[in-house]
Amino acid sequence: MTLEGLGPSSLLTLGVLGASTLCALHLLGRRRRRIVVPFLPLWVPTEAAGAVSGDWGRRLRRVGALLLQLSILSLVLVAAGDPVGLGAAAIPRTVVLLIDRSASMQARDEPGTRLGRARELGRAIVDGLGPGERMLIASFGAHFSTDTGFEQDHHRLKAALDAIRPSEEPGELVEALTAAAALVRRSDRDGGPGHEILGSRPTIILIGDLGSVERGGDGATRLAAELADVEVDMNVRFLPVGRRSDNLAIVAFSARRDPVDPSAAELVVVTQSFRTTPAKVTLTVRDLTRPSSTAWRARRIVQLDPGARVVTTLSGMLVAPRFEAVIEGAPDDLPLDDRAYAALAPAPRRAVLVVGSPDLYLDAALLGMASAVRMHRIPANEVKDARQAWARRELWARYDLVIFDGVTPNHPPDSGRFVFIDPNGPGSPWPVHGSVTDPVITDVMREHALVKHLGLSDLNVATARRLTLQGGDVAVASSLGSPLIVARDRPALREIGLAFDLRRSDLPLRTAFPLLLSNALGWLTQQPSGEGLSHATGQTIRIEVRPRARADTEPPGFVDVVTPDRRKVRLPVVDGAVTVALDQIGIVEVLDVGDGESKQGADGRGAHAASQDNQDDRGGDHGDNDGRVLAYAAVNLASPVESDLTPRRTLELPRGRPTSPALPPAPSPSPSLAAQLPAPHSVTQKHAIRLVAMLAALMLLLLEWVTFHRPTPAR
Amino acid sequence: MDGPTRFDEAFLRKLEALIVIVKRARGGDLRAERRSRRVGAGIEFADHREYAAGDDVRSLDWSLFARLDRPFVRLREEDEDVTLSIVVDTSASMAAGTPPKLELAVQIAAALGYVGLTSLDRIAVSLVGAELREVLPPLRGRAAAPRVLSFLTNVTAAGRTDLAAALAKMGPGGGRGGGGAARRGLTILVSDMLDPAGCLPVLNRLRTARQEAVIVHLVADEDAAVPFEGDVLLEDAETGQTRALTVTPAVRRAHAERHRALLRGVADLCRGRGLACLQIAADVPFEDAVLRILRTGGVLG
Repeated sequence: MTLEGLGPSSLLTLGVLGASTLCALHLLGRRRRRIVVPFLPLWVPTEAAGAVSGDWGRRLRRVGALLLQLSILSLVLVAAGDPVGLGAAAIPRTVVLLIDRSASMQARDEPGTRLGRARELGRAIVDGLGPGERMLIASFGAHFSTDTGFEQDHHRLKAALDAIRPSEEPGELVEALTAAAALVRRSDRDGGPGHEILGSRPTIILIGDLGSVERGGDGATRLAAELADVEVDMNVRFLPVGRRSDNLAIVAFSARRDPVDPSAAELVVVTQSFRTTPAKVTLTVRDLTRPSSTAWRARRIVQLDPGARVVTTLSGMLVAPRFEAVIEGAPDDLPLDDRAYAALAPAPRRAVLVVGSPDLYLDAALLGMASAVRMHRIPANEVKDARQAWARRELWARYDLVIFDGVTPNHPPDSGRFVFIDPNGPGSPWPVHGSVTDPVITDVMREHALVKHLGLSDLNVATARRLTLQGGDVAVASSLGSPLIVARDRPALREIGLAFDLRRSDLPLRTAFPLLLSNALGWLTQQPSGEGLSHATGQTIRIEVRPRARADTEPPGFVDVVTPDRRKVRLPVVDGAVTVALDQIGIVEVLDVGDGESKQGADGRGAHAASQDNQDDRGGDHGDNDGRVLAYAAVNLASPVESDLTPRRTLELPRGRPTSPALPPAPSPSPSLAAQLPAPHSVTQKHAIRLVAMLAALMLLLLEWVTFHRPTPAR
Repeated sequence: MDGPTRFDEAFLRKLEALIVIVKRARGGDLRAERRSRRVGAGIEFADHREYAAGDDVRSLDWSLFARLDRPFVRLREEDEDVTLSIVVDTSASMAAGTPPKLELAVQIAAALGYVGLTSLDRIAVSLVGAELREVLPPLRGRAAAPRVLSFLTNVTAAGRTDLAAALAKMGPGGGRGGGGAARRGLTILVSDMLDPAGCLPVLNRLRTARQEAVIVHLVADEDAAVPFEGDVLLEDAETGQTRALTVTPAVRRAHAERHRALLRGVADLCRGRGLACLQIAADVPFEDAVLRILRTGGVLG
């Protein structure tokens, strides 16, 4: 039982004062009013005088009057205290109100949005909170967050509800339930108001559309399996929101550079329909670095049947650092996923040192990658001479890659990134034991980055050396056990070996050759050049950057991250990367600190775009931090589950858990709130004790008035 | 009450008007002295009785002796001025009432005294309570009226009531010296008759005093009414005795019944003893009260 009126201390004070006053008045009242009468025998017969003064009944009545007055005082104090919550049903609970604020909660099938409906339900639940009950409001998208502590103040709870903003992330229900359960348990351990003693069970009220739970199929089963590991040992009640599923979405959008032509990009857009009727949309891809009038790059008409998923590939697109794909022409309930973004990392220009005699094939391939490669060549004899070779070793470290073409140094290098073509001699990383004539590639390690996109099945090689693999070596391609392409990955050392002379094979004549060089360049330098940089909201990613140190103004190791809503946050660079939490759909820009500040004007987006455009136009060093934009990251919802707006009506926790039964499916369009709220206290119940106390006090007062007579002048 | 306000000019004017009323009622001759029932030397025949040794032979009725052959003497009523003795109860209970009963009692006494002096009667005024408090000896003549008024000016209600004991100390004619031969006259007792000893002793006393007596029983509303309720501590105005009492409707009814019984008792006792009794409310004008008293006492026809 708790008091909604005066507190215990106030009641105690009033009680003491009131009882003291009544007792004092009682004592004073025992001194009867003295009235002088002319002739006493007329009033009190002599024979009755003794009986009057010694009437025990009268004394008892006086004591009874005092007790009656004290009883009235007690009842009045009880009414003033307004006790509520008597009985087991009114045991104060600990409630966690968990609001789903995932991206799907922005759907507009409810009045306003689903999140608005959730807020409305939440406010009703707050109004229904019983006295002494504590509520914590939490919300979750991809991450769980608490918006209040355990509160009893309805105003603060409602203010927290109003402050919940929708996220653009998929929801992580399991994580949220786990965190909410942990909060409740910890709250009880920390001395909640006697929940365990009174036997009340903490309650988690979940309001949302469970957009993160896959509809149909084995989605519910999968959720149950995940929840089986969650110790949700409390009441979990679910209030669903959402009425229908009318949504068309871009569920994937990615871009990559053409492996052969780095100046070209290939875009893939996946659209999907989550509505029950066919729809025809216009898919438009824009280059965000261009003015809107010239940004249009491609436009397709896409027919989306109910539930259909359509993959649209756009090849040969002019490379741009940022793309936007939009579907239009069929309004739906969730505009958030009608738009998607893709970014291409600037192709780094690698410094490559070729050691050996001029090789037209190799040189041609490297020169074809002129936008990505800056090549130097030194004669073979420079590495054969011992003294010069040691001197050259110092030089190798300055290059991203050193290619030994037909030659090997006098000692195998122990650090760096190298490609050995037809290695031989004592400096070969792989001992050579004979040769193989007309080897046919029989085994290819398809998953290795070196042979990605490559077809080597009909490669013709006249003669190849038989290389002996050592620790850390893998045969990426081999011919009957004789490795033809070898990759070595050791600490501080990465090497690739081709066991044959290019000029004694048809590999340089194949399109696979520049791809192989590109893959080799990427694998050796650990730069996935040409890969699109698309991420999903809710992820936390590391973006590798190398900001310039500015000793005079800024400490090195900081970059500015511009979020899609154009907020700029300064973040530290740790281990060559900045960690960014992706919570908004759009393009995240990583800026060098100094230039970003100096040129990030009011129109920051335009300034960055122009800067990047200039870099692109120069075809210059994107990756050497000469520009102000260090990196881009495209962030999309990219969650077909979240885009599927089909509302879930039930949440079934794993069997065997001591949870409350799930609420019955709510009728469409909106469930009856009264039927789903967790038994709020009605006003009548809340104040029943007070009313009864007041009535009892009034009745006693009337009884006392009728029964007792006071020494007041008669009228 | 202060003297100047008790018998002020208005009161005196009312007294003069009262005299006019009394004269008119008696035919305009206030000189018609009252005949005493005493047989004496008067000229008015009263009765015969047999001669006894020592009788004045001049009073023998010779005609009757000749007819009856037995000696009889003529008895004649003796003409004498009677004494009007006014006894005022000044016990503490007389302070009750609105106006107080004592006030009316004093006004009655003053008026009767004034009228009496005007009639050439002798007027004596006594103030009694538990005992004979003060006595104004018999006075005669209109010139004595100021003394009567002065005597009554500073009368206050105090003390207990014991009318019988107080009357016992009164001498004949209203003066002090109880136990002496009573002089014939008229005694007017103005009292509320709230005597702890009851009214029987005083009535018996008046009867045995061979006095014509008129009991003026003053009754105040406060004597009968119960102006309060609940738990009270009643204090007797005269004795100071207290009693705790819870005034309930039953108590109120019992009190009213006892008061009515008191009134009936006084009236019955007076009637049984040949005493005139007037029960007058304390708030009536004193003129009315005086006229009623004079009629009852035979002063007026």
